[in-house]
Amino acid sequence: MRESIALLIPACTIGVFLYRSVGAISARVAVACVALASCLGIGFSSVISITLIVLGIAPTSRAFVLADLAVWMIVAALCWRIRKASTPNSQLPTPKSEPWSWLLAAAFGAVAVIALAAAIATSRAAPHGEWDAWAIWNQHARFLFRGGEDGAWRDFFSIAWSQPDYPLLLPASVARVWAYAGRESTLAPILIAMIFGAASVALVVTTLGGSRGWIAGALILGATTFLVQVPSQCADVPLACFIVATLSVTFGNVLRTPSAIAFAIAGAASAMAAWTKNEGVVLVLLMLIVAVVAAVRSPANARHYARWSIAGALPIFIVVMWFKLALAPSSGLVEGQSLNVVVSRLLDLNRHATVLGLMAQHALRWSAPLAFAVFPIVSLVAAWMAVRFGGAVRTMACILGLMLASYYVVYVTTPFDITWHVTTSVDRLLVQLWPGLVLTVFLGLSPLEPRA
Amino acid sequence: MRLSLTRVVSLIVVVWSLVSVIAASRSAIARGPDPVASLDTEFRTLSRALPPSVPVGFLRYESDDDRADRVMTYYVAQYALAPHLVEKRTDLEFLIVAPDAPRPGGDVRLAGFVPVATSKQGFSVYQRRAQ
Repeated sequence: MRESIALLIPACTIGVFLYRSVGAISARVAVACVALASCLGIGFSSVISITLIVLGIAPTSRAFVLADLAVWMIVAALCWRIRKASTPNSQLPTPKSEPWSWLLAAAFGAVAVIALAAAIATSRAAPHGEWDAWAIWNQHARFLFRGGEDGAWRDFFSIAWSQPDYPLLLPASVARVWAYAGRESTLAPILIAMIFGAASVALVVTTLGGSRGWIAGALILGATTFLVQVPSQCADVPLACFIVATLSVTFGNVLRTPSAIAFAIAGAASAMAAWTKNEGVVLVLLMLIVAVVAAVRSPANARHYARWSIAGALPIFIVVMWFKLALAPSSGLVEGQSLNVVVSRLLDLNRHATVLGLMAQHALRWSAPLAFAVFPIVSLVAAWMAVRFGGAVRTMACILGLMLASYYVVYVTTPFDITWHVTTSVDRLLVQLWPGLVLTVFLGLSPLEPRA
Repeated sequence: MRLSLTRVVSLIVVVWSLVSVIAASRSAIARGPDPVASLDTEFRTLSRALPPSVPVGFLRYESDDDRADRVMTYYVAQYALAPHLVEKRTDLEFLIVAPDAPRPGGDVRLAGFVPVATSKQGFSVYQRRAQ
């Protein structure tokens, strides 16, 4: 119960902010706002939590909860003072309502309920999550929660095998919920994992709307590798959520209002990706490039929105940079790697062949046996649409393609055994891109004109 | 009702999704118990024997120390005993010893240590004897 309260406070606060900013909204936009408020609430609350811990306010102390509550009450009061937006542009097109849409909605509902049951059953069987969850994310959360009083939490930075350079969105969020609960409940990371999984699907469904939304949602959940990762309590699904949040707000117009606030939210979501996992830094940099190109080439409005996007990302990105420069050790991927070594690995064709072969093998088997080659097939469709349609779909496909390319480069230059590195991680990396990829394809199919 | 290509593809996607999630839920229900939960409980009972904020040693297994299950045991020990640092060393005051880690018939690495706590599954905390 108290775990739910801890998660509802930031979600409701940001929900108020979105409601006041977006104005009169349909049920579809309301669901999108709930999804955005939930995941951004977790993100922002983790920043407040880590700030309190660094200031010496331990999560095991009552002062932590009181301070956290005070911050959210102030934020809520400020959000309520925002002038309520006027009715959004009613000329924005909505998806065609098809006669059989109710059947698709019912089918998606059945898929979602069974998927939720699968996730709950997995969580009951593995309450501490999968290997990386308890060895990295929840372990860091325990250090933050238990070691907050005397600074002992900083000791986890010396545990090399626990990836101490990984950002703290998930661990700080879990520690915060434990603080509210007064104990280390396994329900905390389970609830957080479920929220991110549900929000990922909800954002795609609500961005597209109508029949395409229901089909896209079913396609996302039908990929068993994605579904298995939702209750794993790792950071890949949260990262996928922030990627799709960024894309749906920026290009999919999910909030149905081309306001500066929407672009600030998109910027914040992209920066949250970097606060979730190191791969998120690639997303932030790519969105920065998009913002700069839009500002340079596009009319004055686009420059204005690009500035808001950067403004939304900046505070969280500063937190990420502070964590990387002041707290965390260097990543095992770059430590001891000179430029000469990196270049020589990039020029080694055998390494390229090995990585390409392994990535292709895993991509084909991703979600197999029921969905053999689903990821490559959907990727090819996205690439075809990028060429055929251009505009927002092309930009989204390029962003996702460049993220995949960055993963490829990391594999080629890895200091670890290539086979071990690829086989233990590539499936989860594809999970990160999956909801965004489905959104991209269905936006290309959608009769709703996406914002360019 | 005429079936257009769009409707056929949509039907395939939806039916495939239903089959996938049903298969996933059956796998999840059939999943066995999680060894991490029981190991975590074991090690957490030992934490009461440890003073706060001290690093703790972990006795390496006599053989196959890098076997997957033994690596997991060590990692879970760290997970359970956080914020203690658990390191594979024997030069610290406290030492975590797994039941099958010491050499049979006496392990010289435990010379100078006495057991101070033992869990149900046989994991122990050893403390260095006062000089």
